[in-house]
Amino acid sequence: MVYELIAFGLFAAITLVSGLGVVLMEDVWHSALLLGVSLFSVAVHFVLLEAEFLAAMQVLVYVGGVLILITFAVMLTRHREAEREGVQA
Amino acid sequence: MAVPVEYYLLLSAAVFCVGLFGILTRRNALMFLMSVELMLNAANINFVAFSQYWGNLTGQVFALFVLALAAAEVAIGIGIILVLYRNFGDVDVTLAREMRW
Amino acid sequence: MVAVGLFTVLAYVFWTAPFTGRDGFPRGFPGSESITENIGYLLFNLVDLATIDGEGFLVAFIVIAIVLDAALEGGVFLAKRESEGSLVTALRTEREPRADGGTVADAAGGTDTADAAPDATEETGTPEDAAVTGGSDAADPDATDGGGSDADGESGTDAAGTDAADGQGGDR
Repeated sequence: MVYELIAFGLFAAITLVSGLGVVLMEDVWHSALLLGVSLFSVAVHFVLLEAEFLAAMQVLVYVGGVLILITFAVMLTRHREAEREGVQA
Repeated sequence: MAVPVEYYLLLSAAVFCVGLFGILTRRNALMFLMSVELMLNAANINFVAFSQYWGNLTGQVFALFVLALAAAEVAIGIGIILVLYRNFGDVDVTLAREMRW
Repeated sequence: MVAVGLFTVLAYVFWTAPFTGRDGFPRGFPGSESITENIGYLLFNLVDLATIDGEGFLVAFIVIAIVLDAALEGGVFLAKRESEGSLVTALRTEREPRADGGTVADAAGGTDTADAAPDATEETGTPEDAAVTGGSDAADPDATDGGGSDADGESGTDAAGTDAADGQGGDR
């Protein structure tokens, strides 16, 4: 019981801190990485709530699909931005 | 038996507010997308917490649907962001004021 | 200012959250049942087979399937783009006829070929491009070879387009 509470507190802290990091971080790429951390800890919460299948789906869909898509977008936009700055300079 | 459900409620409310904060303060469209992900995750935490609370599987199945919806939403969002970037050269959401160019 | 408004929302949510009912209902699932199995039953409306409480979700399942399909279609639609008179789509690249009467096919054999090769917008030119447009030349006389053969530096004639298609088809 108390161990579950400790685990919950720990991962709640991780979720909240990384979520705040997602929002407050200046660099979009760091935000994407922290979003991955946050999604993983949400999956841990699902395991704590006896929803193992949903935790697996969370990791598969979010970290495997959504985060990869966001990473693609970040890299595409950043690449062109750096290119344009290089042309201007 | 386990963690009280109020804690999960507080956690999901906090995550939701963090996501809302991100949507309201950031101007990068990608940050919008990530904040929406955070908010959907908060909703999912609530669903699963109450599913376990009542011993009813409906919440879990619904959370599964929210997951699929989030995936579809991100796919469309990425497409829109890339089109926005191609037409405006930036991902600033305040730049696009009209629905045509 | 926005943050202050948000913190009001936050405080309000925190204040109202512990008010939800928590009278002594049994918590948790029966330990002997497989949750994943029951999720599968519920997804396909097989409520009778399910051993944990829940309701059927077949309609929502179909709706989500349609939404995912629409998302796929929307992604393809948004990825389709028009660059310098050529429509770059996922599976083929079409050139539109020019306004001055001459088709783009005339220009494609000349300077445009060299210009298009390093162009970043031609990156979606796949080997299928040349194959598809090579096959549809009879139907659309304005269509020429796509980005795939441009990258090879071939001339823009139709015969060269089909040649490139054959060669790249063999590579695949």
